[in-house]
Amino acid sequence: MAIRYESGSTYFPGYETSDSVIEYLEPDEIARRCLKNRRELVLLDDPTVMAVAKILAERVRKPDAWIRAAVTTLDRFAREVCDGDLASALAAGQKDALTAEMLMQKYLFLHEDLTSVQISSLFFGPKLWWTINGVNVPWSSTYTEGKRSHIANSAKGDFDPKARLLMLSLIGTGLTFEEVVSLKAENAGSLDAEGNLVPNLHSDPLALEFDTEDGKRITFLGEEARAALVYLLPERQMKPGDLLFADKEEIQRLKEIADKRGQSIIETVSDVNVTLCKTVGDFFKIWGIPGSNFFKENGIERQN
Amino acid sequence: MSEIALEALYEAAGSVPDPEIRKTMGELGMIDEIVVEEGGRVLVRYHLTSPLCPSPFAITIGKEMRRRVELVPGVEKCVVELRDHFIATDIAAKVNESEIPKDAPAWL
Repeated sequence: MAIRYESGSTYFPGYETSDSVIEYLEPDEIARRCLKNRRELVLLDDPTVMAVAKILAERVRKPDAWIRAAVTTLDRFAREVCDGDLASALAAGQKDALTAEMLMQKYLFLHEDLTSVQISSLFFGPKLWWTINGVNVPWSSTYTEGKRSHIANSAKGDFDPKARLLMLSLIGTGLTFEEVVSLKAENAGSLDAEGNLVPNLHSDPLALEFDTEDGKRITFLGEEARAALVYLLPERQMKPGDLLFADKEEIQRLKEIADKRGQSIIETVSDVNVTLCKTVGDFFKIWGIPGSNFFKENGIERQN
Repeated sequence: MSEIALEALYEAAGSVPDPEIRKTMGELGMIDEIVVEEGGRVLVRYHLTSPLCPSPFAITIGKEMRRRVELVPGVEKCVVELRDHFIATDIAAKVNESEIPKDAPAWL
């Protein structure tokens, strides 16, 4: 079944961009486009990997980043713990789910020193792959628990944790503010083998399902936002029907905080950006453009 | 020829925002010098935050600077001169290569 696929809509001032292009394509064609000119494209020849990419193409509104994330992390999983042989690993996992768990633990062991955000990213593809190919692996935070957190995950400090959650939930999901604040508790969870949402607030990754003109679509919450959501769960005691990211009466107050903090972050990062640009620029003004001293330093006469 | 107010030229050239940073060229101190020449011709010398500033940014900033300066009363033509950039000459040539209609839409 051909599905709506939008591309080319990214706008960045200073760069010429074409208008957004909307096409209706088969899911496998979308998957191949998302990995075009990438080494990982060959993995789509494996039907078990293509199954993951197709479900993402069908279910995610803008699937490019998620397909790339899933296939590239699965590629790494295959190379690091499956000797590049996904078929054998899957056969063993289908026979005994404990094998899948052991391979995941081995993968975790290899990346013991990483932060929870990095671990969560690395497990995105493998978790989807096992699940969609019929192996029941837990979609829980088993692998990220006890890991170092990124700064954004820190619940310490004076930043209102509810505002922090609202701001983090806007990052990377592709959702608008209105979409974020209309999501309910039952719109978050894991996926089953067919890509259907199974409500579960403790899922990792946490899929979010929302309504679009083309039906229900999903996206995934970033690890920082997921951790911020989990941090607030005991306090909020959510039940089906409750809003996921903020209580209704608090949305306006939180939006004002988010607006103010967002502006402050943009200004601070802009200042950092200017300083970095100038510092790098000053360095190259003194030392020359990268590579410019290569010929001289190596005694090679440059051929023009 | 009416006299061109130098202050208005600095204001026009300096009002162009850096698309990446959300600050103006004036705020960033990137306008080095503006020279009013004969016949309503104006030369703007400027630099960017980095000598490696990507050319699409650099060209767009330069063109928008020309467009804004040419709207200042008395200005017949504005040309720019980019400094401290590794391909400054190429970028300035691209910025200065064609006329900008008075009703051209803003690039930034």
